[in-house]
Amino acid sequence: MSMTCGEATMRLLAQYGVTTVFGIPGVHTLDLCRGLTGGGNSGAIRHVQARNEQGAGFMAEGWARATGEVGVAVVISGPGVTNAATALGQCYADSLPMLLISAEPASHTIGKGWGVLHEITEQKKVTEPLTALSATAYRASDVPELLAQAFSIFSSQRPRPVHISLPLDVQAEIVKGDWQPVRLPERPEPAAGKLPTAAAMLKEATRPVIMIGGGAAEGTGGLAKAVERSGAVVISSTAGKGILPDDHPQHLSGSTVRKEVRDYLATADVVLAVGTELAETDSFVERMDINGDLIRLDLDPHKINDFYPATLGIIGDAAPSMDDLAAYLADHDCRAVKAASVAAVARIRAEIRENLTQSEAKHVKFLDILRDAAPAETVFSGDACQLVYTGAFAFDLPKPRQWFYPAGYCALGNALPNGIGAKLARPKTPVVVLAGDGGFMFTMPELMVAAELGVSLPIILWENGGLKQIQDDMDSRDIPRVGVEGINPDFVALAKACHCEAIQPDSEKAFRNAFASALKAERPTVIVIREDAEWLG
Amino acid sequence: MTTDTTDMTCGEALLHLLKAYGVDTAFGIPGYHTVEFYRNFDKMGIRQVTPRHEQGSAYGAYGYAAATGKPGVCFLVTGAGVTNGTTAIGEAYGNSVPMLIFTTMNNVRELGMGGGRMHELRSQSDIIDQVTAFTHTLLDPANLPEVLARAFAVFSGQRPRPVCIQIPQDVLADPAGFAIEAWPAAPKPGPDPNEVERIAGMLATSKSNMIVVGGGAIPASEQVLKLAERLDAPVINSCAGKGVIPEDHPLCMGFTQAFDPVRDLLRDADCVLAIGTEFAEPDRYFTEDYPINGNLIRIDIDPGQIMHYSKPAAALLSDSKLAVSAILKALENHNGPQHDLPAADLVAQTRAQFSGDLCKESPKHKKALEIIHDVLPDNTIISADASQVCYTGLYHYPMKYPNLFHFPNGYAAMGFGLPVAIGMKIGAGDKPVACITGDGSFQMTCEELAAAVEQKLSMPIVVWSNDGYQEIREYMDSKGLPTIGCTIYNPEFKKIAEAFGAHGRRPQSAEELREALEFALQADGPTIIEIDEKDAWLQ
Repeated sequence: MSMTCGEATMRLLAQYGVTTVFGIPGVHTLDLCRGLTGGGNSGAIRHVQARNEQGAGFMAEGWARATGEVGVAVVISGPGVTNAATALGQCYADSLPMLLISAEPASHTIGKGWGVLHEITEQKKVTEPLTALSATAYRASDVPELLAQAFSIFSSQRPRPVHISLPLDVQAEIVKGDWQPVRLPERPEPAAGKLPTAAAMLKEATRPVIMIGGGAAEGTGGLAKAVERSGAVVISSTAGKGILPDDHPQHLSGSTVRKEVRDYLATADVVLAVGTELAETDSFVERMDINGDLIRLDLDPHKINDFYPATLGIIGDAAPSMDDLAAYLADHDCRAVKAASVAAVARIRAEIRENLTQSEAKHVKFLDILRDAAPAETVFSGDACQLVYTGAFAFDLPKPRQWFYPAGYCALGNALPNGIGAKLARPKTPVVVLAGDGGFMFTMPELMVAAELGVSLPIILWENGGLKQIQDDMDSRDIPRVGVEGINPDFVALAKACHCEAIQPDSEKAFRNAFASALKAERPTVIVIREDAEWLG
Repeated sequence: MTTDTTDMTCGEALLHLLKAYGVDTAFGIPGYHTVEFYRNFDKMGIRQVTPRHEQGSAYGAYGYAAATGKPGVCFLVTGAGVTNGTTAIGEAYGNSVPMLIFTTMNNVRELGMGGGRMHELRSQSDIIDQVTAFTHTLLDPANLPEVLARAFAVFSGQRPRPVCIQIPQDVLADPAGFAIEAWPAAPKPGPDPNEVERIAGMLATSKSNMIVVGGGAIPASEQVLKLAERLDAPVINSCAGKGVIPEDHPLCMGFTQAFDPVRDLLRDADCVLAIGTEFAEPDRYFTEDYPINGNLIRIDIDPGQIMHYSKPAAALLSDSKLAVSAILKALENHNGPQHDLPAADLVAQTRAQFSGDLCKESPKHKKALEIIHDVLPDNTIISADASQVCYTGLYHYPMKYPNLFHFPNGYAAMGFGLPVAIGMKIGAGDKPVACITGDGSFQMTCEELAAAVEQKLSMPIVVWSNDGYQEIREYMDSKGLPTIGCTIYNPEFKKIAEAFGAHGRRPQSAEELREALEFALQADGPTIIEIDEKDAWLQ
């Protein structure tokens, strides 16, 4: 059956398992839209309408955060791509699989500077630094190959975004439409002998530490066994939260940002880092003090010898590696080590609670209530805001992919659209948005999308009068505050104007009631929490 | 000027240097990486405007530049700030607007290391290079005066476009060690005298001349009118060229390259003189290229543009004002041209052959636009979004003066209207500014209403509501596609306005629209005026 390349592209995406795309249709994506609704493909892919392509990108990001599967955005050329660029950057930095399909002006106009609609000097170059692959299909027959490359990256490499541009004439090319997905490669497993060596090092250790990041998200079962059998203290990054349940007695979750935890790390004699880049954004110190032997297990060869060169480097997928490692540790008697670890974790957790700043204490007070009120399976979509920074080490999750935080690229405004994407990916799971007032404003128009979709989505808006973190940064460097104390809208009125429920609770009880109703409501609920509210003490 | 920079950081001294170049306003959202830009900012007398998204920062700078002719300045944080701002910078690149963007980078030792630093990017320059005249990475503070002089040379001496200066965090905090002094402005290029003579000869002997003007002709506005009168030639303007000669002038054809009667004239004219225009696709409103069979004469400051669209018979690489002045002077030695039909009659006859409507709903748009045009003073600066009501305005909202109607013609990004209007009003002071946008476009950047309220900007923001992306709906219909994702759920715009602390109006008659606009021009902050396409008074 012959059809346009645009339609065939969408059909092929459906065959790769894509069920939902996020975007805003434009004059330049009509032939792609044809594949969303027309003929035999009808209903195979759902199109979700964002209000700005940045929202579409962030929704695709949320889909990927919630599922580990590729989130897809379909946008126009030029502004559609540059609007979505921040979401690409975020997925790149946080290792999330995302596919951006965009239009491009007709292939014979590219690079000519004719001033055609949505023209940009070279679109591909804008996204190259933000993706594992950015490519233009110069003829229709390029498309299946480029998609094969994209999905191969998602299945076998460190997940990162891919951008494929389809010029207008290419979209409109008539093709046979018999495109088939390729058989996807799997992730590599460690070379023989590496994991036994790692196991031997852990057995020798008296103060072992296992550091886990987002790369270990698929390895929950094996990891738990390896933790039990090594007796190690586990320190996860924010992306690693919940891979081992955060309340596990050996776990210091999301807490390299705490000096109490880094001090302990400095005393470890063996450190096994799994699927983590030991990034600055998890500790906010220039270099963490790691004195023990460092074993790095990572899918990305670049991560073995970067800022923290490995004593033993292992390239491979975390999940099967953790199973194997656990097996190699089966005969190890770690009772003494484990007892020491459990005692150390309990002591450090208590120290952290004692050493909270006034503002952190307020966050913790609220987060404790929220943890109690929210079902265990709840996904929390967090923005780059102070409440979420504190939550990294002070909020327990039982499973991975339940705590979103834009650790690497650290853009503001991801929480709401990420939450929408997550909710669509996992409609039966409660999803809660956690945003600061400054971050919320970045993507506030996407509230209309949540309202339009009629999803139950509690949106907790932590209001402290603007860009609080930067106010603090200016204060600490003796720079008079400039431009960081903005006027906020009346968030309750704003939410209502956007057809959402909205409330500013004046007591813990009122919050609990509002939150319980929000989880059941058939539309989003904005819950405004004033940092200076009396009930937060 | 003898400002002592001994104890200053590069960031502090930069502010002094910017002051020396006359910069008085900066747009930006301070971030962890940019705090060093703001050291002693409060003592510098530079107005700080904080939008709610970096797209708003860059659009604010765009609007400021559009209103003042001076480069708009914005500060962006590295990474997310840059990618957030790219669309607005792309629009400035597409529309030849001068903009000076400062962004930070991670510390020099961290660049390109892939260590997972905050806001880390593989190569920020690659991104921003695509939308700027040039992008410079400052590795030594001592280079800053020269780099800045180069940026201002772009703004004054060549096709104006954005320039980006990236300063790594550690370099920003380094000691300045340079003198605070603005370098002299780069001269504008003038025309080749021999080519001027040749062109004057061609124009004087032509039986039919047509003049096409774009944004590049704005500095030559007076001279273009004189030339049109001297040659008795019709003037067709691009979107950016609106008002280069008054659009209600008898010689002005307006924004008409989409209409066959005008395209026929351009095809058959003996001479087409194109001044500072690209013959861009959006200026033909997506109709096919029209051939130019006569002599095409180009005046452009950008050599690339001279050799684009169609083979020129003659060309001047020059500032438009210098070039048109020289041609006028050279024409003093000629008597011609001669033609039978006075150009004013030709314009009137031609204009009578088409409606100028570009969309199905143009008649409704016109009803509202006529009132808006009537109420707003002639010197009002308009920020018109990529919305159908503004497409209609391209022909039906005639401008008396140049450089007052700003529309995202090139990059064509939606969401331009409100944040650009904010920058315009900041730059324009007491001069009136108005925004005309659609519901879909408004929702792309409506968070910026908070900045407009904060800055107490009195301006009408007309939101034309048709439940979404009407233009795309019509395209889908015309291509036999089911309309997907074009009908969107709208907020209550009046209540949105009120929630932000702005004013909201929902006029139900011509009189109420008039009253709302009059109110908005005087109000103590922005006013959203919602017009729904379904409203009875428009039918």
